[in-house]
Amino acid sequence: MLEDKHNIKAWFYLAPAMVLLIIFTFYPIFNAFFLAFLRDFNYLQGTWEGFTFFENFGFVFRNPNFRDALTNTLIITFVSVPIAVIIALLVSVWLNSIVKFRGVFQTIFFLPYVTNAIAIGMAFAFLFNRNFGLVNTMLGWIGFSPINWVGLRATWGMAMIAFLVFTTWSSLAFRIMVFLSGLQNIDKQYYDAARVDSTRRYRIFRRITVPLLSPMIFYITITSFIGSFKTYTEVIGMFGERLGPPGNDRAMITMVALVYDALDRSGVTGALSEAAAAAIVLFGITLFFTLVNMQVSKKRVHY
Amino acid sequence: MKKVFTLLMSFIFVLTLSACLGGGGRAETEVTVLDELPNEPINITIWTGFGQANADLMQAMFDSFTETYPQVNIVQLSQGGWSGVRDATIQAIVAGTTPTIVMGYPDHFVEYLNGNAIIPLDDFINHPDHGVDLDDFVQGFLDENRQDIFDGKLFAMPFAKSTEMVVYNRTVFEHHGITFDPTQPITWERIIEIAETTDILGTGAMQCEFLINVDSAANFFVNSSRQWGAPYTNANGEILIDNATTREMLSFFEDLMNRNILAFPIEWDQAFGSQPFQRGDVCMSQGSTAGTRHNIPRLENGKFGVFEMGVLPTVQKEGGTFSSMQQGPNIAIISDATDAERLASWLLIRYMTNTENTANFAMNTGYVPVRVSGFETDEYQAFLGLIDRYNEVGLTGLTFDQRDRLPFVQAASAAFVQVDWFSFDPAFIGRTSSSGARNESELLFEAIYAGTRTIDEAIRRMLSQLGQ
Repeated sequence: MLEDKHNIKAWFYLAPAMVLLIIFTFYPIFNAFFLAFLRDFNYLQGTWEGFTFFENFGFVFRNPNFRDALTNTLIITFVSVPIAVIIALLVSVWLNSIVKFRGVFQTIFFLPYVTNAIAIGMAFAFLFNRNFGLVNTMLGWIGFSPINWVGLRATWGMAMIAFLVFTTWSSLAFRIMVFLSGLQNIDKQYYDAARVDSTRRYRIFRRITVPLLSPMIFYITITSFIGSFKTYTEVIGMFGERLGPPGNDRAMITMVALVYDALDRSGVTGALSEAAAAAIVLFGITLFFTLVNMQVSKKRVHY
Repeated sequence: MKKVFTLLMSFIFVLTLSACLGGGGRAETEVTVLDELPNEPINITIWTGFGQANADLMQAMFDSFTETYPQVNIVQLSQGGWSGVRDATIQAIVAGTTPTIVMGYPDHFVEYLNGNAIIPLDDFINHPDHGVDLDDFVQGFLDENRQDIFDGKLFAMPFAKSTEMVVYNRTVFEHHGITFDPTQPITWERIIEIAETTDILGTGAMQCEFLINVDSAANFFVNSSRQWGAPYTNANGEILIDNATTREMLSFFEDLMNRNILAFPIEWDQAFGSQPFQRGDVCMSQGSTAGTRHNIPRLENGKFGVFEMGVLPTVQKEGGTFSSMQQGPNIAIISDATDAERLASWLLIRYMTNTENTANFAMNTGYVPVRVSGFETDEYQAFLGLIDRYNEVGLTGLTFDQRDRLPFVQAASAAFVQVDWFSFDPAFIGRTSSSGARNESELLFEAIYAGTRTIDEAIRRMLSQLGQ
């Protein structure tokens, strides 16, 4: 009886969050699955010609940009996430170790998090400008000739390098913030004990900091992978709607761009179902890598 | 707990199904034309892609319309460009928050019609009291809105029609002893001859790095295909570009690009060539007559300072079919409106396209009148007459007011020369649409310009992007 009473109370307290989750999370997910199996769905009229299992997924897999989108997304994810996690970890350890100007540096490192991704993308496109960008100016100081990173006739390789630098930098802020809060929760006595034993700093980092921070590292790795699979705004910010350098359209297309490409044709019959199918394919890929991540991390995370 | 979860999931599933099944589709709309406008408050919202200058001109029209119909309240909202109007309208159709009137292109209307979201205007046009005489409208403008895909009905009226023109740096060309007749189109062969026989191309003091810029690679592809007689698309949605004539045309332009005779705005990381033209990076620029005000030379510190500008019709192919792009928005009424709102909307459209207003809007914007009678008004003829005065006394002989108006008169004259060659590409919708084909043709030309794809690769890519 008492338990029932508590259950009702619990549901009552959960209700506001549940209602919001149902409307803005569960409903869109179910709807995306539903739309992906409709044949010739007319978005403007809300009508369709029966159900189909594979047709919309067939359109996604046969899309001439699918392979490029998947390749780009995987490269962005598997290059930028590990690099960004390592850099964020090192920066946060350094920030945690300094006393002077810690607040100033924390603010500087946190600024990208509160800045619009499109604006940062445009700023980076300027930084990587062939003729007057800061990057080429600095490379010029050490004797390099100007490199065409993102301009007219830029190659996929150069554009990808510039983009990886941008995404790595822009994603540092949140990771540093999380790591820093984790570091501040590590009991100081571990470090005092290590110091008494004259342990080297690298060993302290490997044997104390990393293991005790492993739940945070795991959390950041998982969320970063998921976030990276959803890369889109940053591509628009840096390359515009062509999704690539001028003359090399769609060179930087990602899986989410594939979804938006179909959504952009939503006035055309069937396009919304194609977008839903592409979103589900992305969901499947993300889920697969998340499960792999969880499996791999099982033995390495110390709670 | 399990029961509650199952219940919750069932609820979501039912919700999903009902949301999807709920609409059942919007039926084709019956149009009832009221005999007179009810004397009750009527709100009309109109979505455009115009910028502030044109919005101000529209507002002046609305203000004078509401003096006659004080019960009508008109609100215009710019969606920041014509593709913005299309995107916003599609979302609004689904959400049931459409405006009353929407401006746009046949490409867009085909999509709206896929949701039965616009109404045919024929009953209004033929109404004894509220109708209009279609014979007074430029037939080509009506034909654009009366394509096969619209089943012979008129779903939109032409409002602001424009074409393309070439602005050129008269100061530099005359320095090299080159003059043009603004009543005749220049040909690509003449442009090549200029590049080969003069030293206008280069980085010197009175030289331009590029000879001509073309703003819209999509228009350029479509219009050049027509000039060359190369098939592009058809009303069935087939993409017909895989042919020898298209290849010949693309090879011709690839050669010009390689010789700095032809450039696209991506050369300067721009969307339009107006700034490079004003700066003196390029001596000529082909773009919309509606963009006249953006090309007017005003940079004191540009390479040639504030130079004298001339305007010519669109470049043509010698011995080819003369053709110029017909563009500019049309105006349609959304089906989710009451009979009173529809009639008020129609009366507003009729007012906006009457002889006086179409002439006045054209004189202030670079668009052309949509009615023949608009061309023939004394005001419009006097407006065009400024060209004769300019030819007679030169720029320095004009008053400041006349100098301000001159570029618009030049653009209007260039457009007038081309009226008989106006053409448009057929609107279609299937797994892809005519607007999708246009986008891809732009990317094709840009890739050839950048040298990132060969002509064959670019053609194959365009076909594959369009699912063919």
